Amino acid sequence: MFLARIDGQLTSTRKHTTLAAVRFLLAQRLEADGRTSGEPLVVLDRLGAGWGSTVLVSTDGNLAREWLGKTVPARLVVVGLVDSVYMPGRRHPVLKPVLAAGNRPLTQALKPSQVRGAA
Amino acid sequence: MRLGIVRGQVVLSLAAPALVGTTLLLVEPVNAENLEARNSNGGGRSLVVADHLSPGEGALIGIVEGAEAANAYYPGTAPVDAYCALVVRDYEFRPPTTKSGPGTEGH
Repeated sequence: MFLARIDGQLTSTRKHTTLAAVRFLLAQRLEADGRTSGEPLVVLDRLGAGWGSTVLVSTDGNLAREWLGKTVPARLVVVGLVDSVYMPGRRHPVLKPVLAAGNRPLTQALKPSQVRGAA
Repeated sequence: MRLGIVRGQVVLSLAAPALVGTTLLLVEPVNAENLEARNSNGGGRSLVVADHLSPGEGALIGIVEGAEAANAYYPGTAPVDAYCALVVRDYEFRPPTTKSGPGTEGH
């Protein structure tokens, strides 16, 4: 399991049949210092994770199999919405903006000032 | 699932019986920078992905890796560790601004 930040969403029409009614989110894995690492990941979600929120992602495919059937080609599932992370002597740096921004629904667009590269 | 761009197809002259009927795609994973820039560049280390969906060259696909890649062959088995689970139609990807500034104001 690892922490990840939800940075987007994804739609797909051609996909494995078991994934027909699944919500796909784009997430970036977080390190302990709050930086992202690795390539962006497609995660399956049924908890309603919001844009910018920190989530707990499990890499155990059994959860996806129980949920969507034994033939589902999927591993990464959101298993929790993170409220806070305690580390002795310091704060998890990611959570502050995440909590400040609240759990925005994904349908709500970010303000232009929040989008990198916006004028 | 990571995202990758289809760069080509791999054809075998001889294959394990379980792989008959599976096409093999040569895929380049996409990193965050290129995904955000939508520049059709990948940036990751290429891998071969088993596939039943026939995405075209240049298509963006979701790649399931690990033992779960073979789930699609259940109840049979197949010696694959990467499988094309979906073809991306559209996506939104906007990491928060890295600079601290007015970004989180008012929330």
